[in-house]
Amino acid sequence: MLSIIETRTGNIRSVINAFNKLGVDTKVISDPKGLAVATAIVLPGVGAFEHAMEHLNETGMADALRRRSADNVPILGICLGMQLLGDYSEEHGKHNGLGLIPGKIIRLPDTDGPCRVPNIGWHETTPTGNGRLFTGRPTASFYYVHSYYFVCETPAHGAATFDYCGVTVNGAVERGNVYGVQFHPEKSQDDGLDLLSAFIEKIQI
Amino acid sequence: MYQHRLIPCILLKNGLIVRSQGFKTHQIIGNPITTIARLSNWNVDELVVLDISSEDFHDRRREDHGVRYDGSTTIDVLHHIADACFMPLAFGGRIRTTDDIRERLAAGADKCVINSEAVRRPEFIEESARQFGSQCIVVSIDALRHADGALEVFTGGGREATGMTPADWAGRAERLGAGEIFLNSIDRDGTGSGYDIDLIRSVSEAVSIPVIACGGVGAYEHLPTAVIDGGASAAAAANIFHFFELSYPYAKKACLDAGLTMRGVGLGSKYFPREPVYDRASEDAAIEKRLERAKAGLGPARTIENAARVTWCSACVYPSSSASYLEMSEEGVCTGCQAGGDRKGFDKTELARRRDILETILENSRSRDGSRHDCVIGVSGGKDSYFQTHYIKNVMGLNPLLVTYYGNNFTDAGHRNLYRMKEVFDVDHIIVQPGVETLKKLNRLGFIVMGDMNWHNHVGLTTNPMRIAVQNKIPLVIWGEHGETDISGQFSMNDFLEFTYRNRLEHEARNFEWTYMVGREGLTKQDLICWQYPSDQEIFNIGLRGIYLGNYIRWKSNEHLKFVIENYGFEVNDQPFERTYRTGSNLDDMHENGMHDYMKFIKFGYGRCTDHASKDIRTGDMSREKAVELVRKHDHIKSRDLNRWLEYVGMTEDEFDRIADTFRDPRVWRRVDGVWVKDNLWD
Repeated sequence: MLSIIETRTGNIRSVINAFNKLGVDTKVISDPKGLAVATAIVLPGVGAFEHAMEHLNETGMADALRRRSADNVPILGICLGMQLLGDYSEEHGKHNGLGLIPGKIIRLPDTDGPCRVPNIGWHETTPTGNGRLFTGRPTASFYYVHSYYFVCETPAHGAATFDYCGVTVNGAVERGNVYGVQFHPEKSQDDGLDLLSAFIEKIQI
Repeated sequence: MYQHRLIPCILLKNGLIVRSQGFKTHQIIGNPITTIARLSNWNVDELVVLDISSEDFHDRRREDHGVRYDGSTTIDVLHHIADACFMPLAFGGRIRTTDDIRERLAAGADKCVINSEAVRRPEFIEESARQFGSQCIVVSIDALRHADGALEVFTGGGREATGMTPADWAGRAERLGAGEIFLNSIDRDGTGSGYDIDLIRSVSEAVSIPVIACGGVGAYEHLPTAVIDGGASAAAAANIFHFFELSYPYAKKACLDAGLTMRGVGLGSKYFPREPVYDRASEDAAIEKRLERAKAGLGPARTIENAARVTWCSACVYPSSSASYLEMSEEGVCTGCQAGGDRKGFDKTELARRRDILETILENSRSRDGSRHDCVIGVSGGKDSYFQTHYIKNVMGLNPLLVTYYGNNFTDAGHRNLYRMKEVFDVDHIIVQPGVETLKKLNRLGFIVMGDMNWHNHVGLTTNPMRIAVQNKIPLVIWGEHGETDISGQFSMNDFLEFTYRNRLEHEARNFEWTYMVGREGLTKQDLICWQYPSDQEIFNIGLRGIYLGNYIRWKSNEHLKFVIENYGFEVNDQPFERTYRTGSNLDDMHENGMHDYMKFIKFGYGRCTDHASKDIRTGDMSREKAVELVRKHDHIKSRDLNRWLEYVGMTEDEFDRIADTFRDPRVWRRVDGVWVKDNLWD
């Protein structure tokens, strides 16, 4: 069963709707015990890193996620959920993450161009060739809402990037069976649903 | 590459979409779910939905507007919106606590829009940003430009002054953690006169977070100015997206043409078909339930709790249970009379301005090389068809192609009028005649499914002119007047409303698209070709528009009738109709003035006579006293065309009555000692 983690700050219903649209049933998990039967996990999230991580730690979900990942259960982090996969974030002080993909989360730089923080809007996103969720097309258009971004310790973990007024930012990261996307595939219309379809295909293998 | 955003804004009131003017007038546009599903066809960058209701109450009105969601709270409607919305969604309205925000994010919003509470308690911005992240906290600012040019922030739906300038307040909101500013202009709202660029510039220069500009857009060309001249990150608008076909794609094109960097125009989606997909099992169950209730004589298939009692307009005779969306003013005057008032007020200058706009549209549509007709006119062969053809051919000098949907219900006089048009006007005329067995099936289905045997007629006559226009690459279809603007004042005459797929689906088809009919009574997709609307791509390729002549010239039906009788030998019905006193209307369909209209009485407690008498009151041709007398005489009559219809489709009168009873609107009807009774205009 595809399990979606209840993070209490997420737009979880949209994620459920997107998978339903693709004909996949989902189960919302708020208790770490529920993860035992998960065959794939989606970690969505909107909001502040500190609050979300605190919640995962307090409920024991953080450890459960690490265990399930060690069992090679595929995990897809979306937006804040992607950032939580990293080692730590610098949002409102330094806070540790799940540490499933080595890297840190830092604030988007101020630029001279029209890019403003938070970065809210659409970016043509280019696969690096290291990712397995991007099929064939040279770029795809995704919707982003964030002020912080994921810097990988190992560049090979970058799966797709976009140009943020001169700064190359990771739009997606990937390490083994752990996937993260900074954008919202569930809100990115056809391109987003294509990506989720690819995820569904991968986890069925 | 940074991409600017183009954002439709939807205003919700009591669960329905409204158009807004000056933050005061709110006319109902329709069903939010249908509109949002439509936006999902188009690669929309983002959607802002603002619930301006002041209480938890959903106005579901008539059953067949297809507003089917449960619950009465803002969260209930958000749930249903989220199910149809696969684009980013910012949701606002009555957000006062962080719990309110959490609830909305969980229900499917990506961002929350806060307004009055942020002004009342600025620390609320800080609390929310800390808890949910700045990126999902949008501070909405309603700005008013005073007569002396000074700008001031107002709250409470534009009613309460705050003493702050928009720039100062925006700057403070940013420092407190707001991620985005949604900026609206109170005085430009609903005017269509363009953005207040100085307002937008003052705010976008005061903050480094993105600014979404809204308020005043009346033409696609206004949209890019918010970004180019105002420095906004996103251009937003509300009303305009409801008025025109393919509004979002054309708006996007205008922005791209002006040089903005944005995502391209998107038409069609492999995941979201334009035509609704129905859950067959639950629809079958609904039909089954209705037929069982009919068999058992149980009456209405739905109930409404705390339904408001029916009231009548104090100027005309229209009831609040109106089939089309109608509102009463505080003085008890309906929006139909208010719009009729607008129109009576047009002076010569205004009429000349409107005619100029029309001339430009017609000129643009004219065939340059004679390879096609200049425009299509959808005609039923009625008095308005004669007048339209007269005006377009003999006054404006175009060569139109007439297109008629022949639903097999013409009256004898109507049939003769129709077939004479090619002689009288010397025009080419295509008459689309669907197979009669298919028509019989659609008559039966329409009656059982939605209490209206004329679904085929309403959808057929609005679909075929558009189909033929696309096939012949003719970019303009001309309709008469827009029925709901005329009868209930649903839109303003300044909206210059045009024909849209959404309006066709919601109003003509009552949310039952042809896809609903496939597989019922053995109908196949191919049987239903005459009811299939052209694709968005086909419409976009030729820039097809459907305009209503009534928006551009003085429209007086009674005078048109006299005119076409005298000048073109138009025939009125040889005998009076039973359900109205007029003899010159709806000759194309004997049931339109007959049993179709009787079903309106069964559903909403009034009929065609109320329509006609109200129009005649508004034009000054009838006293209200006379109107009441006529309504009393005609509205309840069960007309004789029923016999033809029953024989045509193979149904008994008893079956008919029992099914009809399931459609009675509980706002109108109650059963007393086994008899259906209702309040009356003359009580």
